[in-house]
Amino acid sequence: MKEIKGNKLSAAFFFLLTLTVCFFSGRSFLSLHQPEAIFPGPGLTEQKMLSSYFPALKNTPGDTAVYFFRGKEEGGRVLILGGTHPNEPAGLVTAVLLIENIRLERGSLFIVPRANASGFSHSDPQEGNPQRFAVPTPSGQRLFRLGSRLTNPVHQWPDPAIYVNPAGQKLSGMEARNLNRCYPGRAKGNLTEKVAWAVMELIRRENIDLGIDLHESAPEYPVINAIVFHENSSELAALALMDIQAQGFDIRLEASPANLRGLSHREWGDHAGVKAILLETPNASHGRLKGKPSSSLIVEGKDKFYTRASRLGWLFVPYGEEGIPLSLRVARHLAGVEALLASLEALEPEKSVICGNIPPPHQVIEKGLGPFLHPPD
Amino acid sequence: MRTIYLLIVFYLSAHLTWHLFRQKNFLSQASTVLVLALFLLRLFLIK
Amino acid sequence: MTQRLTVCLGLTFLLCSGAALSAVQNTTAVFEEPLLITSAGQNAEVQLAAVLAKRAGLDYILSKLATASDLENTKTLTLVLGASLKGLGAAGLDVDKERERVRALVTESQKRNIPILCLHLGGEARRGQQTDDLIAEFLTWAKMAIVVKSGNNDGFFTKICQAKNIPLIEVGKTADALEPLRKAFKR
Repeated sequence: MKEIKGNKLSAAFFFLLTLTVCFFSGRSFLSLHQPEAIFPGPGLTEQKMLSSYFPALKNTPGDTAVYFFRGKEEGGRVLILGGTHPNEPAGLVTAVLLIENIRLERGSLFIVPRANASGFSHSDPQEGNPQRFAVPTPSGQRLFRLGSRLTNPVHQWPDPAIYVNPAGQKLSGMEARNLNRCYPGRAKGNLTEKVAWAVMELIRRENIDLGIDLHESAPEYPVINAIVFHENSSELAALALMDIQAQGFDIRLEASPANLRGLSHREWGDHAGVKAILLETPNASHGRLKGKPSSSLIVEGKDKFYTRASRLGWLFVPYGEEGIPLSLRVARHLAGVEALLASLEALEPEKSVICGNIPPPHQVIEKGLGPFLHPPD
Repeated sequence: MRTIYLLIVFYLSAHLTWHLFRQKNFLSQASTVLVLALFLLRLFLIK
Repeated sequence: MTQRLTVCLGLTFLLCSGAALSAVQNTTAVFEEPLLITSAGQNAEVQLAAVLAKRAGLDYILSKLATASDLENTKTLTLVLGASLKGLGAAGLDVDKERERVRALVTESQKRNIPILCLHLGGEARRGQQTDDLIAEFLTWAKMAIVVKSGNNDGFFTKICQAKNIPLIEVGKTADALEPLRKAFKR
């Protein structure tokens, strides 16, 4: 093969090309640092930042918005966390749906849609994930970021070889950037531990009665379609399960293991004494068996490899050709939140939180997410 | 720690750029772009 | 002749249905309070059983790690079947240790003539080799079993219960187990 000669001019051309590639890809990467718009409904009482509970978090990439709803009457106080893992989109979208629709009749509700804000600013390397996914609404598409399970290494680096979390559990090094392994947090710890500490401060200062952490898991993971509960919330979880089953959703109970430390459903209960619940729905887009990752895989949830795996009996949930769309996963979370609020009211009427205008889960399944989302900007 | 990391990435980026201009093979120059772009993004901590 | 045959068949049918009805009635109200609720496999559904017992107004004690001594003053042993690796890990047990614990409980309950009520509330999701092994061993001692239907899609419970003549009640979902549970206890 004939060698093509290069010279200083061609070198300069390629250097310029490099800078151009860096400019456009850098701009694209940095666009993920801008949070997507959320349009709170008229029921919102106040919007504040998580740093208002822990000032050390102010002006850091870990600071995130807290949406506060207060009813006319005093009652219970509930915290809902979405986006603890930014690659589990049903948590974020459920929180957004609540923020944009609900009105509180009684009690107080605190919603943090992007609990690990830094995790939303980047995506997992070598996964080929889309940066965003598009949810169709009657007035156009709403775009949401698909982040990473972990805090951005630009914001917290380097990872230790072995991470000993604030609860004393030894974990692999990268778990130092996993918010749901860092509870109860450290006031002088790394960024993720500070975020966890700030969430604990919110729970303590606002006298939260019940905390709900919204997650998703891969269909091949055993804890799926599940309510994970702290032992102080066993009755609440059991009541909610029966309510959710009555609505036609298949769901199971999983007790929070007392010896697996650092997770919300363990440390919220142990360190703040609140009832702690974690909800899981099945999401193919962050499973290991998926085909090409795409926005439609996240939103429509169809994947022929998962369908085949389901036929072979490899999964913990049935996965048909119709897929498990985001609308169904969000509807499950909404049904879970509704059932937990109803169960809280049944068990402790003085701590009831009555929330109106929650998008009805079966309508979300039927009509999709669009009709319940604010039109895009 | 971060400063040391940035110094290493800066050294490698500078080294690659220097070699890009000394390289006589056109295709080798072209392939440098693929590596140098990644190093420059790292240098500016863009992720 | 035909008329006589018809009458005979009719009488046989009536007798059979009467017998069937009494069999159904026999399957109800066979247990007495107080009941001890424990799991066989450290599953989380044991909590569901406790909520159902509470709603049914039953006098119950929930003990995840019940031992033979807990059978003192107990008139019914309720085993919630299903192995949970998470639950076992949290309790610091493995399947063999858990089997030993439940075996000791069952042996003691047989000595004391305490009847066993088996529940399987986790549906299809709470099946699998380890769960099936526990079911195969302990369901045979039951005086009655109440299971969520999806857990018996393959007829596993039906097969064991038919072989051992154990009344089996299938319910569509967990909450539906409340009524048969209430009726299973003498008031």
